[in-house]
Amino acid sequence: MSHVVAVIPQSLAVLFIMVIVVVIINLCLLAIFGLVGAVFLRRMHIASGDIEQQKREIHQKAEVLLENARKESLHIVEEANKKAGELLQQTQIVKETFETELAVVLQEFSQKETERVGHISEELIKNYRVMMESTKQKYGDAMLMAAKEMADTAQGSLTQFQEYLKDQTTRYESTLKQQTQTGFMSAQKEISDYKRESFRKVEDAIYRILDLVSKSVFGKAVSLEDQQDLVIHALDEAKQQGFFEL
Amino acid sequence: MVPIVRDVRTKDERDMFREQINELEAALFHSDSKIFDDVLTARLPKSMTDKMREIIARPEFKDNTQALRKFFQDFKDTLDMFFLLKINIAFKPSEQMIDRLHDWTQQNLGLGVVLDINYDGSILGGARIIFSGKYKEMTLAQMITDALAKEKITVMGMIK
Repeated sequence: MSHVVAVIPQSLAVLFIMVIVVVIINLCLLAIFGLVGAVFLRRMHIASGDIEQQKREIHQKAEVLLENARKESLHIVEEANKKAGELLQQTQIVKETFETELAVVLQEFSQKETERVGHISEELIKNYRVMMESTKQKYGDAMLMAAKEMADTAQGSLTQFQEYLKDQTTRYESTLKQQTQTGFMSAQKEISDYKRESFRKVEDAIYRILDLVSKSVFGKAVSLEDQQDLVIHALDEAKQQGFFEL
Repeated sequence: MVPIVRDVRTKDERDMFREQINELEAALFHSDSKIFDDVLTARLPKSMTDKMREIIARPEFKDNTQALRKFFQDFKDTLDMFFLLKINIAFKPSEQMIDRLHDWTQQNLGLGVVLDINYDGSILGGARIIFSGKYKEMTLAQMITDALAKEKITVMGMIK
């Protein structure tokens, strides 16, 4: 029993020492972790500073690039505007040259044709009048001849002869009137047909002349460079008109 | 879209590429890899050969014939989807002019449009444009015809 009593305080002392050792070990570990943590945080801080510095540098470079790109874009837009202005001016000059040439040719041609058609119409009307006069004269002569023959061979009374003469006169007048009317209408139709045909010829001639003039003008006036610009201009205009919208 | 297709400018080039891709596809079935390389070198233009080599060298195509065949099929499908922009112009276009027109289509109509350029001296200048079933006459000949129609009325008026 006394042996047991002696062992208990000894076991308590050992336990106490073990607790002390464990506490010391824990404190050491805590200190080590604290040190390692401090070093880690310091490195993190330094790395964070570096990253900030890099970000600032990248940002500055990006700003420089953007500024350069903006300047370049502005330059391209200015150049494009300038080119477009030049092209429009050139196109306008070509158009004005063409219109001037066109107006002169048309004016000369139309005057000439107007005079020619007017002259031919006058000739036709003159010929028609001469023909009518001649016909009238022939009928008059025939009537007088008939009257003379009737008078010479008349067996009846003067009254009968007068009646006969009156009838004949009326008949001749009616025939003459009818023939005059038919002749006049025929002449009118002939003149109208002629004018229509003349207009058609004029129209054809205008197309031929203008085709030659325009080919001649543009063949000389449009350089290869102008031709290329005109194609791009045509595409731009088609796009503006919504042609490429699906 | 297969990136290489943006370099296809004209209908003729598109047709040529389709044919060459068919040849490359056929060469894939050969056990001798040299044949594929020969087709790649001999049949494609230099610029395209280099780009194609870059693509084929990608890890996903290495020793993977099936993936490469799919790539070729995608390429051909993309070519078939292209819109055709047909233009008649009054001069024979130089390579620079074709480049200029190609740039215009990419900037204004986006990718996926190929040009079919034809020479027609009778239009005098400008362009006759056919796109997606529509037709537009933007030519000097048309300008002249319009002017003739306008002036015809004036002339006939003077004669009458």
